[in-house]
Amino acid sequence: MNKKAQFETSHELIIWIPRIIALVIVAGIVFFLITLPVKQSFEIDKLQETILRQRFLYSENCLAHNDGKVNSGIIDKSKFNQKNLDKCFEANDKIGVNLNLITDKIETINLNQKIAEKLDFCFDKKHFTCTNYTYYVLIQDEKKLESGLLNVAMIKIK
Amino acid sequence: MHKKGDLLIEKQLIFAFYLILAVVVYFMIGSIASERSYFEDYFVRDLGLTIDMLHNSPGKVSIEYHGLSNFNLVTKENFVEVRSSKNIPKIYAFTRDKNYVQLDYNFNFLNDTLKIKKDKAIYLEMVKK
Repeated sequence: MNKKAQFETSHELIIWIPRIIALVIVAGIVFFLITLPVKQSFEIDKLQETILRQRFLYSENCLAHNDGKVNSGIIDKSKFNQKNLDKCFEANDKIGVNLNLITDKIETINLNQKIAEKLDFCFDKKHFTCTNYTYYVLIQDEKKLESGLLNVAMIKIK
Repeated sequence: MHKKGDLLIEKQLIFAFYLILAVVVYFMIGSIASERSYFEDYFVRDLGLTIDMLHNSPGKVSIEYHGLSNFNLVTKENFVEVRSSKNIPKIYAFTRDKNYVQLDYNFNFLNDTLKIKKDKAIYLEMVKK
């Protein structure tokens, strides 16, 4: 290869570099624009936790008091025990719940203990979805009706 | 002559590249337009959330999904799964209430209706068109 030919080859290469870069950018943009709507996932973890949280208040199998009709805002204190809540809320291996019933004292129940213990790691939003909500409730304790708070902290592994 | 030939090859290469790009885009858009994967993902989550919500409901509820076709629906223990021949299975894990009987169903939808009812138990039913 003589000097002239070498010059031409290197000159052509220099001309081709911006073209290749432009083509890669165009191809990248096209690919990105097409895959963008497909890769959008539906984030329903918080919605799921909201629905699950309400089960404790609305379902007579969980905590809702039943005196012939279900009273959604009134908690039957006799139902606030581990056995009953484990039965009405069979958490799968990704969900843990910490329930606190607060009156003049605080009663705590954990559902799916192994996961509920991880509530301290809720700052890690990449791996956990957490909600923590406190409801003002009425508590039916035998024949006495008193006011109190029900705190439901829920964690889900993503 | 040499330069003209180079230009021709260059044009052909660019043309070939755009042709490949167009074919890829065509198939990708076709895949998205079919919306099967999207539908299945959406449906399994919607159904799973509905089952979760039905556990909360104090009264009777009946919900119907019409025109379901070309997929298989399995509910077992605490999960809902949608399977089809083209896409990977989609799963939603719901939270079971053991006071109700276990949801154990396997439906193959061609162009049918799915009925979900809650009375004293939650149950699913496939109604053929």
